[in-house]
Amino acid sequence: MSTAIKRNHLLDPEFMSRLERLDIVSRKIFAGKTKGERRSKRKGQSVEFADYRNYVVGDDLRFLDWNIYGRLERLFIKLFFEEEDLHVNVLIDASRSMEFGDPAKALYAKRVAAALAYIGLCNYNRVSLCAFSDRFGPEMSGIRGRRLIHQVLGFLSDIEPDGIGNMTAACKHFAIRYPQKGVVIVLSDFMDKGGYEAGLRYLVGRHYDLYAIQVLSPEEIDPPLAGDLRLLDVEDADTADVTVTRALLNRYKQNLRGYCEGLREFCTRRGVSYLFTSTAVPFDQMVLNYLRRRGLLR
Amino acid sequence: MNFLAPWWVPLAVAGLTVPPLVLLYFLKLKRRQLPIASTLLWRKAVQDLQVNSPFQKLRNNLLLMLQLLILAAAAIAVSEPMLRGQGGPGKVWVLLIDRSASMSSREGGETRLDQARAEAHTLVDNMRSGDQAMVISFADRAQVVATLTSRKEALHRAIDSITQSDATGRLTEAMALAEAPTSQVGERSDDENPITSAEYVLFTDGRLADAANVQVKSGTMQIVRVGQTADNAGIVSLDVRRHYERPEQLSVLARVRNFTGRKLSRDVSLLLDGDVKSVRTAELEPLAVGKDLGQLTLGGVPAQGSEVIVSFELSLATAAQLEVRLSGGDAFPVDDRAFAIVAPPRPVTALLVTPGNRYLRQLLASLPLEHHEVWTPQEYENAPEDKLVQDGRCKFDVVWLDAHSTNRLPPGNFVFFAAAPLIPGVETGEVLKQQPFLDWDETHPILRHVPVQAISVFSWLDIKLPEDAIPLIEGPDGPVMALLRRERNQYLISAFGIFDETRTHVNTDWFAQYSFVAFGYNAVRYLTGSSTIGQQPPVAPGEPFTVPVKPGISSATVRRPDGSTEKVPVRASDLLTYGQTDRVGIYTVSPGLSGDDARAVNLTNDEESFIAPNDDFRIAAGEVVASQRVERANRPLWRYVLAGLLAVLCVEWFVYNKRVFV
Repeated sequence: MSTAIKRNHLLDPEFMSRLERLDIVSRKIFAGKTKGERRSKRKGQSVEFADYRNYVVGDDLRFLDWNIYGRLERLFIKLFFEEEDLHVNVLIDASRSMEFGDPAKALYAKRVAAALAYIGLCNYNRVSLCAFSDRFGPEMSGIRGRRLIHQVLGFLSDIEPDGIGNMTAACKHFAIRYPQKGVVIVLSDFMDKGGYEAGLRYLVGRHYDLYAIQVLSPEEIDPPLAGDLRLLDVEDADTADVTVTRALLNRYKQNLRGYCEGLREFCTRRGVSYLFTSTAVPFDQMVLNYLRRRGLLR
Repeated sequence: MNFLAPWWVPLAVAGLTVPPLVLLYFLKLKRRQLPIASTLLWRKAVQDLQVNSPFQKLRNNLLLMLQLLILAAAAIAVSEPMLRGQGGPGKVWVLLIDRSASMSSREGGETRLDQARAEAHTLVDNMRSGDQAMVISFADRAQVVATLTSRKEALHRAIDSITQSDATGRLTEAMALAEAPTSQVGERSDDENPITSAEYVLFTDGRLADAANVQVKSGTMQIVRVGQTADNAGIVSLDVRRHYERPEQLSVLARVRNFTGRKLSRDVSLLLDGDVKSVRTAELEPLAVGKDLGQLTLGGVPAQGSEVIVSFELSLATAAQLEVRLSGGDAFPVDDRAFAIVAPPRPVTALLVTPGNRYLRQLLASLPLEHHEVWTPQEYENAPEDKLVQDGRCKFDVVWLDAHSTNRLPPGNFVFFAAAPLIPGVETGEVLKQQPFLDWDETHPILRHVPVQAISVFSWLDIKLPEDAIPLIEGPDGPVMALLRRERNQYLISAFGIFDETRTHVNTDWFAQYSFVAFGYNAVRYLTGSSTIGQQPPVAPGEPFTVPVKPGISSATVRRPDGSTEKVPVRASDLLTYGQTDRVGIYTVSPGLSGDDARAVNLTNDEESFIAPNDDFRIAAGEVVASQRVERANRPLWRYVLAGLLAVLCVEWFVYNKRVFV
């Protein structure tokens, strides 16, 4: 199934208007590159008073508190909170396995990414979108302002799931390439035969405000399979001969639950927010309810 | 548990079927290919199942295991497993199967003979290896249908080959046949073979007239009594007579008897050459009320109203075949029909050969004869053949020979006074004087209304007769009056005459008694009854009959009641003797003499018609064990194996469906 879909299929205007009221919440305060609408760690020129400090030579005389000088005859400089922009990075798994399901997991992930990007753009955050499979890219980095939403939608529409997922390499690459702190949202099924742990560790090491959103299709959660089958892995063409029995299905579901639970536990231990969703969950409900409930949006 | 089939049979079956089945499992299953997102968890699930299952191989090939199980069950079934039966080693079984008329009683769609056959089959199935059996069927005569053998197929075939007979049942001959080979076996057992005495198994309904005379000399007798019903009414005698003085008048007397415990009403029809001429209704009282019929013997039951004599009178001036038929079905149809061959009426003539005897002349003159002649012995001996013989028979219906023994005896009826026929087996001796009559048969038709005790006889000849002669009056040293039949001749021999040997004195006062005339009447009527006055002598099933045929032919055809025909050789004396009269009905001989070419075979036997099974069956001596049926000892298990096989198939079906439709 081609994911090169029309842009307005990712976000319709009505939904976009509902997104405009939302903002991405970072549980951490980061130093931004440019001034933005978000309080920075740094003291700067916003209107919000932060603290006083003694005047040293070279300070801007405009920030001297003359009222204090009048009472105490000592020079104090007023410090204000600096308001800076926020880096919002969305990592989208574009491996071939994301093409699976109806609707495809890739489409679902792209919609979530588009929604988050739009929320970020509306709030003057610096939004970066990166797709990965066995290689890193394509990417769209550092865009700001809601007028660029069409570029974002175009970029997302053009992402074609292909190749074998390699999360470790992708995360390593991302961590090197995007050293700025910010919110990182990974949209993937996390079904990586190489494992997801190493990749996530790279991201955790950069102290991003990290969100892991696992997207699975209903066909994966409760497979409608029966009989003697040769299962073909769409990524690496690996085959598995199975005779689907009730016991095998139960075992599969048990393993899936264990796998997801393992991912959740891995994330929780490392301060990563983990969200599980099925493509059966309506996309708007996922964004407006689930993500707000998990604190990513407000 | 035993296996009837040889050991190699299941092995051969397994060898032929298991390798192809296993080979089939080596063939790769053609699986449907299905793309999925990742095989990661599926592989893990499969591995988990394999690791966690203690019988992972079995689970993988559950279908193979089930099918191997089915094949094993089939192989076991083929080998005919049997539970071990009862009985010791090397028994000798003698199966005595009653095929007499009462065994044709039909109950529940099968005859008693069928039931007996089934029980006998069961017994043969029960036989263990080393056991031997012989099969004897009997009615009035016994026949060995299977000699002593251990081959069960031969025994089963022999049992199936036993056919129904309408004859009465007699066990004596069967026992004699049975004991001959088993006694040989007994002798042999003394040296090397440990075979013990024989086990006699008698399959019967218990209605055997001579059972009280049977002895089991060695071994034991088991009686398997078949049959339950007593539902029968039948014709127990049939008498057809032409009127002595008006021969065209025919009297038919049928005695009908009810053998059930309830009141019956039956129509009795008279058929003449197949056409119904008359119907009478017989109201029959129960044979016994409130008693178990199985405990009864006919001798102990008065007839009362259970027996009715139905008579028909008709005018018939020709020969005919009569049938009396009892309507209303019952369990025993054999006695519901009785047949008679009626000869055309013919006036009776007589010849008196005497040196001079006015009493005999007066006697003949008083009898209703068409005519009679009186010859001297010389005239008799010298008479040309054509004066004495016509159509191969004596021209005179009865020849009375007074004090003249002769060997000129053309086929016919002869009455000898103080003389005897000069034929082999008959000898005359000295004159015995002043001896009493010891015994006489007052029931015989010739002595009807003849009070023998009132007759005084001074002397008589000492006559030696063959054993088959029927004594009518007996003295201390032998018969005084007897009836002897030889082929087509009947001889009524009186050892005493009217006059003594000197012919000067009368020897008896009999001529002065009315019984002398009665005797003459009876004698003529009896001797000529078979050919001129009434019916042909009745033949019981199983008895042979003799029919005269045209001179010169070597063989004739006998047409049996069921329509089948049989070619029978004719003996030199132009007589055909036929013995296969095992079914009731009319047997016709062709080419035969007109009017004398058929014989009727009727059961007309009270004992045989009384079909209520005899609960009180006894034999004279010997160890007897009674039972209702033969218990099946060798129980075939293949049915259970087959049921198990089907169950496995069901499990397979269930397992397969469980796998496919999750």
